[in-house]
Amino acid sequence: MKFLLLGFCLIIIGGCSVPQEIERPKKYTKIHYSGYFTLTIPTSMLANAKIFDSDGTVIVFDKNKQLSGFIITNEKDNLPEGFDLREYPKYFLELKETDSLSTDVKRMFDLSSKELKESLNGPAISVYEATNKIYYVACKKESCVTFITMKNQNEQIFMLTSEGFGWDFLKNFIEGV
Amino acid sequence: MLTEKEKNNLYILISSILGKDIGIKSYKMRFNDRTVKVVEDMIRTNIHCNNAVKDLFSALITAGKLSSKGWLRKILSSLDAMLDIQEEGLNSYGCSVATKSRWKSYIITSTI
Repeated sequence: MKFLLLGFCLIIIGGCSVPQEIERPKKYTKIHYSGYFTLTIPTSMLANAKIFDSDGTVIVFDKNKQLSGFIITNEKDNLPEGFDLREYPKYFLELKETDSLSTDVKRMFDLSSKELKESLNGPAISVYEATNKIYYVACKKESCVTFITMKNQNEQIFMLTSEGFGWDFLKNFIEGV
Repeated sequence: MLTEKEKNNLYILISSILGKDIGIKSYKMRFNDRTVKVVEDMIRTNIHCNNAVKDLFSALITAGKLSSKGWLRKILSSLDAMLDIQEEGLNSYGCSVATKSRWKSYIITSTI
């Protein structure tokens, strides 16, 4: 009887101490936007997704969930040679004054930032730093525009537009977060 | 369901705001009511990005057409005559290419 009781207790204790296994996707699909920027999507999420090119790869998971990536360079935005693209998100999201910029560049950032605020209806801005990347995230509910810069290069930055994903979920797609 | 004329007018309107774009044009045959809604939102938020949008807004306010959501769908078939929008001689887009690219992806998404 003592052994039976002890065995029962051990089963209960053992059952409680087994760590809960978190189910993680087993397969991932990588989408390379450039040599620097890659998205990593659980392959199972891509079932029934629609993928097309629109200045960068766009993934429509369903009618409410979408990711769209875009590489920004000085040439694409007619920015002066030598402009440090790592500052781009700061100007775009009004984290840095544009007064020191030339008239055209200042106007472009001021107008774009106004448009973004209007589009996302006053988004919350957050900045996250990882080893080699900085993430500038503008989100309103689950609509986000994210700029990703790399500390060790200023040739290009990455913009990720997303619908239906908050930052907490979105960061799983971005390597190095 | 949009008529051919409405699809053409919608493309001319889009290109007057964002500039001519082969990518968007290649989806023109699939423009639909969702595309009209996206473009209506784009016009509202891009008003400062482009003089063509400002002109469009002024003309619509003057004509009393800009009343509520859905206004673009109502006037789409007569847009060319009313505003004399020309595909040539477009105004430059003042916002960033990042802004343009974002709206381009919304427009194409509406067609698929």
